[in-house]
Amino acid sequence: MSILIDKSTKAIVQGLGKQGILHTKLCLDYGTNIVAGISLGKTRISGLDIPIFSCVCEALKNTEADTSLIFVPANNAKDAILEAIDAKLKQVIVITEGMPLQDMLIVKAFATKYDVRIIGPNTPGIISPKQCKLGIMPESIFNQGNIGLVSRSGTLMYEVALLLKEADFGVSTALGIGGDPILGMGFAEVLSLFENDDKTDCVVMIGEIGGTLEVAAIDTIKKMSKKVVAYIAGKVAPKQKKMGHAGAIVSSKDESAQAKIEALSNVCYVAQNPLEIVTLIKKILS
Amino acid sequence: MNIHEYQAKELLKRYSINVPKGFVITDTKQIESYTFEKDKTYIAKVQIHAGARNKVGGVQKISSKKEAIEFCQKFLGKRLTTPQTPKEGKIVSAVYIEEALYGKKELYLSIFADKNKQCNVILASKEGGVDIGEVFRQSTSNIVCIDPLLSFAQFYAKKALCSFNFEKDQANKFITLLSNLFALYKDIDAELVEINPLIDTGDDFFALDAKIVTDDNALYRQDEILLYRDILQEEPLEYQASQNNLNYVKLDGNIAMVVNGAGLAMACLDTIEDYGGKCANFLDIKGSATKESITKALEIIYQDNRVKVVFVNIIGGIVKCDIVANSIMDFCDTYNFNLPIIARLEGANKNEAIEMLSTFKNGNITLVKNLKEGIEKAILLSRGKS
Repeated sequence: MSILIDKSTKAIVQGLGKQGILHTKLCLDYGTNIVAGISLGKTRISGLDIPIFSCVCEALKNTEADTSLIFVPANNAKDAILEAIDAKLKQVIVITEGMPLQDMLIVKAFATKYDVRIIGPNTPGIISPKQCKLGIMPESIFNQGNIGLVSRSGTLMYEVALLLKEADFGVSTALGIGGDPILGMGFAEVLSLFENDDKTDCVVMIGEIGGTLEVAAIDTIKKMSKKVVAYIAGKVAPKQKKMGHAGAIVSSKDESAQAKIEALSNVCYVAQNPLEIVTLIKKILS
Repeated sequence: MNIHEYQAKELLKRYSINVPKGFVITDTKQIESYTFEKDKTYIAKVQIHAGARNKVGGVQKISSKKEAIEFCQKFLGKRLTTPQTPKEGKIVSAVYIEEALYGKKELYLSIFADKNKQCNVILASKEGGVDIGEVFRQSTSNIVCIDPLLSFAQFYAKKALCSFNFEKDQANKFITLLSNLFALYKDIDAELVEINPLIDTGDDFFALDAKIVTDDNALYRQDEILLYRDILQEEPLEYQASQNNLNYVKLDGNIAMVVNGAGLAMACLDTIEDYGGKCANFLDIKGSATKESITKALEIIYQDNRVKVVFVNIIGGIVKCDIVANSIMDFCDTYNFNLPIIARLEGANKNEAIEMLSTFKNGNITLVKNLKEGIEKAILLSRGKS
């Protein structure tokens, strides 16, 4: 198996602009079962071989889907996510970058109320190699294997996937939880899913400065039977500077890489840099 | 985005929150048009995007026009270093002069987006004038979490003033103040509005100092707030970068970095330092990168004369490697750039990019296969070895 998405996943796509269309095609080529697209006032989009509906509820009347993949630009993303939640989809993957904080606060509260899982925003998405890809990651760098990979950053997840591939390892599922300060699913929940997945033998968790999601996962890690390797990016980041991601800012001592590394060292393996992740994985899996 | 105290007070006033009477000086000559009343005390404050101004004389009591002129001549347009600024300080863009006001009590009041609680929070304390971290630790502070689906309701304000022992009249004024402050907070997409101290004069409240930070992601719908941007407060290269949709942060070393993705850029920084190198900058070209913005990224690095080597690390997903390669070649051609460039290009259109760069002669470009090789080469070159 894998977590969150697999061969049985049926998805719709919201936000079919240039990027949305391109990545929908790439996901379809990968073998992902995308059953419909949403675009107001359209029934088809040239070059895209899936039915198009004006709204999510109409798509769900005509097709079966459990997941939405969202590319809608930041200024309209709030409404698109709320629509997906209202339609009671199981999970919503939000690729959109740059959503206003206040919009995301409302989305998060609404999703919690209706028990819909949000992944992101500002995530590269999810890939379960050879089964399903819902995201924008280059698929060729993800080997199929037995390591669960979860990251706040997108391209850093790619780097680690490459390092694992070069060392002949692979992933059961790889996903980004997003680089924003307010996120849907956090590390703790992903780790529990990996713990319960029979195709995952150990987990790599890639955090960074800012927020407390990594530390919030500590109780979960303690209860896990599977080994976890954590890496926290941003050891040398200056204080009070936003390091690219809206969420990557050290505003209190607990949010620094040092504080997180120290806290995690008591419960799991901690790599000092991406290269060390592979060294630790070799140790665990040999 | 940060704004100045005087701008924050302008906004507070617009939302019917009392502030002391004051005026802004951006040129010392402007003081001539104001009258200073005898027997009145005024407070002159430098306007910079940093706190702890009072620790270095940036906030002073004055009582005459002469003293006001002296204060402005001393500070206006000059750099001021406080415990909260970078070591080179910040330029004093303006001086704000207001009537001194004394009250019975100094309170603390703020609204901010609590990223851990995932809601907007009101933080109120009977003991103002200290920093926000201190307020958090006080057991007498009231912390009120606002349900995002409910937005503001009056009972939240009542919870915030709980145990403050206000008389009914004063309590009602506080509730009105808080509801106005929350309206402002929401209207301008703020991440923080802070009044510290909030003076209780016995019959009303006045904001003596104010700090506002707004959400960068929401600036597209905040035209008026955008007018408050003061580029003098920003590091010039960081400003150029932000204008070109790049994330750039200046650091102390000599290895320049061009990376796609913030997390990957931070990880490169960590690894370079672990291997004994020092970075000149953090630079994330972002998923939205274009040929123009990548060229701009290289131009920003070109302006930094501390740089000994450039490390380009790209794992293409949305960003295509061949576009990056094109920018590198254009840049080398235009500037006759001969410092070493170490390029690691992986992911989308990698082969095209590598072919282009390996036949390109007009630059000092080394292609590497992976992160480790790239970092080791970059560090070696940063020490003047090849």
